Amino acid sequence: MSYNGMTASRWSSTIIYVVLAITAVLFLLPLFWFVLCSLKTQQEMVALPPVFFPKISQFRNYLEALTKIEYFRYLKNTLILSLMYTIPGLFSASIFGYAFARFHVKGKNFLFTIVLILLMIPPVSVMIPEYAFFARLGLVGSYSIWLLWGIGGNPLYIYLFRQFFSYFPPELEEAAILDGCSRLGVLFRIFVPLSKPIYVTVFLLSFLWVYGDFMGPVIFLSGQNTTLPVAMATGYVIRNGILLVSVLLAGIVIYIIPILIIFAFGQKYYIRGLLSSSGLKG
Amino acid sequence: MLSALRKKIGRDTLTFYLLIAPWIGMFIFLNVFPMGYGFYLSLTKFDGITPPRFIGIKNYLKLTADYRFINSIINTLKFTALNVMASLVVSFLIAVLLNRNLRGRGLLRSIFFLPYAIPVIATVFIWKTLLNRESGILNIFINFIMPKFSANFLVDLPVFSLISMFIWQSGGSMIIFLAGLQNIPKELIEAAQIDGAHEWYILRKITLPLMSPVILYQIVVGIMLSFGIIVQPILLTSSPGAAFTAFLNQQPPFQNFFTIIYAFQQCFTNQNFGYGMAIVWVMFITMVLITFLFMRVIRGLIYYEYD
Repeated sequence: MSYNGMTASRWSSTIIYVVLAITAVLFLLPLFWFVLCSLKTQQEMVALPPVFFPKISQFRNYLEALTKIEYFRYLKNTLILSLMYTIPGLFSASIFGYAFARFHVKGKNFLFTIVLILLMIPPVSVMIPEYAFFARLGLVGSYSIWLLWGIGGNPLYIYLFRQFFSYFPPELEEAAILDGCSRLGVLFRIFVPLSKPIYVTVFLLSFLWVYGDFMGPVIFLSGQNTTLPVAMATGYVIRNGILLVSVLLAGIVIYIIPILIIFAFGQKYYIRGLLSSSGLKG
Repeated sequence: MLSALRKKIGRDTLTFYLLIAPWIGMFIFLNVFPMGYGFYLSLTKFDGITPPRFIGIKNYLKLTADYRFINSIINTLKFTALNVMASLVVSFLIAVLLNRNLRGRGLLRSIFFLPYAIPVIATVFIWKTLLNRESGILNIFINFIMPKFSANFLVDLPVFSLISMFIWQSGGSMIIFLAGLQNIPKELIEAAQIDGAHEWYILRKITLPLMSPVILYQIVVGIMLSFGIIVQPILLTSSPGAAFTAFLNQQPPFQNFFTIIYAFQQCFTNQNFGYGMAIVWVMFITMVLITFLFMRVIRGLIYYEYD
């Protein structure tokens, strides 16, 4: 019986290994194929029957990707926009999160319920009425929208800070308050120095959100003000509307390299963000 | 004045509201006002240039007879159900398989998690190069078995194209499931194993019930995310030819025409803001209703450690 059990479990673990390995290859294949296609010529991209490997790797696609549109201008726009959203956002979300975590006053739960509801609503569905409202105020086309969004605090980041600050023992702030520290002083002198991981997590989440966002710039920005994703999706076209597919792919490869690097070194921050937003402890 | 107020309502209350005041202000400015203005516009005819003309609830009445709107809702619900189920089943299975002592487990986990981090514009074009007729690798693989086969999956199977892409990106839920699985007490599983329970039996009778709050949470989040999906169907499955048109004018195929796309195009392509806002409001109410329903349902199932 036990002998049979042993072989059965060894067999099943081999099968699990094989299944996982095949799935992992399937998950990596799209990325591999994508890079391969970015090295093909325009003719090779539309050839029938399809070609697997490019005959000669077209590294000039990458050069063309950088020159066909003003790549670095749009990259700069994207980075500026990301920082304009992230830096004030980090500041205000941590203060709001702190208030929600460490105060027990009337009306707090009601306000926090609003945060939770906002958390559930997809941003796009608010952006459409926001456009009409901002157009009325003459804000459309300006980066200050991102600044306002940042100051308002993204509900997810408020929630993440609130979760993190909830875990500190009450004695910590009681002692500080006895020593004459103000409530805001508790946050900046005691909590912030102990909270580096959550600040890094929210910084990355927030920065990468704007870096990858497509609908925000499509709705609120236009022309040369727009960000890299939108510029790439519309810019790699020759006169008669033919899309330069492999050049576009090359542009996107350059665009996601920083993300892959951040992912390689900061995977634990992604995981932390996901797990504390779902209420699980890693 | 502040000190008088402090005496009256208490120090903590005052500090809390001072800290939270910017949030309340911005919430009103960024959410309440736009949604309110949007509601006002939904009662008007407004092209974005000439002043809005009040027409009462005509836009809402028109919605009840608009077959494109009704179809878009049906499509959204169908897609949401399929998408949430497919993504959760795949990510749950991967998490269950990964939840054991394996060599290279960390590497495998990173591989399954990686696509989650890739931004939308990149995933869309990655998926285009996988599934289209000319350069799609899926066609190449099928040609090994059926040499004459040739299909543009993006056009022929638009829902499949979209959902397969979201499955590829479901690494986030895999990570959440994996953490949930690791929170299950080891003694429970070991006791069952000593009693001779089969792996499949343990999965059904111990793992699944204990994971139910996590699964439910993922379903709610998945539903809400699905309602907001707009870029992927437009960029992935429309414009089948090589000719490129602006994002605003691209029409996804019938099956992938969702409510949010309809609202967006009514506003920005047709300059029909009043009607577009009515669609947004109906969608918004649907979403809030679903959120409340689910919160009701899960309240009893989730255990909070604090507060």
